[in-house]
Amino acid sequence: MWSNILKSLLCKEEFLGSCRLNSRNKPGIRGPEWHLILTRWASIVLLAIVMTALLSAAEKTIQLPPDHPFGKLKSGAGVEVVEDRCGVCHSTDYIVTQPRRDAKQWSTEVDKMIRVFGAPVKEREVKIIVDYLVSSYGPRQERPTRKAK
Amino acid sequence: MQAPSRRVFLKMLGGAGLSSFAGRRFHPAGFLWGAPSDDSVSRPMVRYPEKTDLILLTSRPPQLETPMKYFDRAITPNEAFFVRYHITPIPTRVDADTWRLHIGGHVEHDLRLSMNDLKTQFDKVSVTAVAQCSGNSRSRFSPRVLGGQWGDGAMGCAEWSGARLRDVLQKAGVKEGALQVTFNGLDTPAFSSVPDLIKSLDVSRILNDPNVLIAYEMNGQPLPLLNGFPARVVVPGWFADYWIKNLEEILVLDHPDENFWTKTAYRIPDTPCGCVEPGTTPQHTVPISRLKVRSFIAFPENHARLPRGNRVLLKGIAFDGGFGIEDVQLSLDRGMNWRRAKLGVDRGPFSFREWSFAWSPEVAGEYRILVRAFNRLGESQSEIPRWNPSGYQRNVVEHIEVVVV
Repeated sequence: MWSNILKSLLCKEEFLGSCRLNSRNKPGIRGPEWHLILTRWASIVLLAIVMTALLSAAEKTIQLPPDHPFGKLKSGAGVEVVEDRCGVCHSTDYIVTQPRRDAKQWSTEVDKMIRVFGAPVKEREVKIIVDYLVSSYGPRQERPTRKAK
Repeated sequence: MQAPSRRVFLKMLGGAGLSSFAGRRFHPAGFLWGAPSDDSVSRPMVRYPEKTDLILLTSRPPQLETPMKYFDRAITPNEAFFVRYHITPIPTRVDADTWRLHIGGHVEHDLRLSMNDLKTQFDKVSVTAVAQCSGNSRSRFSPRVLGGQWGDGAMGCAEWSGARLRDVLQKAGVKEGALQVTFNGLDTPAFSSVPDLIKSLDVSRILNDPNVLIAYEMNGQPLPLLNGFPARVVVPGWFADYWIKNLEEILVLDHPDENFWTKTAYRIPDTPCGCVEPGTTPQHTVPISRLKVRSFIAFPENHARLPRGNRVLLKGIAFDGGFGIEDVQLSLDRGMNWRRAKLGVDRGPFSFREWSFAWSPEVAGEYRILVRAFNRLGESQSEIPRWNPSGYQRNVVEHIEVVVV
């Protein structure tokens, strides 16, 4: 049985008849036509994949896109630490979409991330992170018209 | 503490500085309009696996919001249904053939159910129900609060099919003294210090409610992976934080659930309105539970321009926490007069209820169109936004602005 299948795959006329077409075009040339063999094998493999999918329909695999650039942090002192330490658990769009917070509020938030959510942040990194957040995402500057007295 | 008085809000307006409230104002009927903050970053449209174009909230873990245009109908398409994960990494490959649902803890028999077991050993039941994130519309809060800055699209309604959780627990045999039941999904934090997302319900809540499901179908299809494939918990009438996705384990406890996400997170002020004076901290909190009445105008879109003299069919949805929507009303004159909308098919008390309202504007100008709904208990939406520090369960009267030209 296997020898028959092999024979059919190696370009015999009984397999889809494609060799007959070929031999008609080039009389006298017989033997394996490798591009046809590959095409046949590819179609068999494809069919097997489709059949498996139809039979089980049970597996799902998805690929998630990388972090979207809209969430990129503003440049500033300490930005690498924030990207590294905060970004290890969540994309930085979490930060850039938040309402502006003052020093006390950002400090509370960073503390919560460490103590409640177990963020792997070293003691000395806390101040760098809070300072960056306040300078980049802190309260808006007063308008110049207000400052001028 | 009761719903904050208007005086409180006026005080708050003064304290916060009027500049950040530009464009909002009181009108004679006493509405204070919440609008998305002017300093929010504009969020891109993205297309994720098994999903159509949705509004990105965060990339990692993925959080995707449904655009308002999909809420002109009762059933939200699977591909448009919002996505909300809490921790990374999330499962990206799930094989339902090898997947097993573990039911253990304070039970007579430890079960490991295959998908086939779930489908063949238990009745298949369906319920059409709204899943809404507790923090839906959080970006509208004033003063603003930290957390995922959702617009209004962290909600959706689907027909969920699967096994009753009650039946599954009864097969396992709940032992005497069982108190709560925890749900855990396949998402597991990268660091052991990060609390895994586990939620729980009271045993009595589950045994008395035939609508709580382990759903393996959503609108007649297997769930998209990002919505919980191969199975998720469905708790009709309750906020979606209980609806654990990519379900893996159900444990029956003989003690109260001490997990972070039940004990500390997802709690609201223990006050009749679930709210506190804006900017203050509640003294006592309770777990969030039942959905509040809400209604939305999905068509026309906000800021649409409508030709004068043409009939336009306004469309939208309304929902509540499981008593059913009885009435949807619209106002074209800023809340002075209200007119009844036509309700669509009743798909049960947990579903979005479609409504429509024919309007032929004769006079050019700017219009603010308000919508409010009433459920069978007579509950409705609040005229003044209620505030809590986590930005949960917003249910103010909604509106759109249109220009008739």
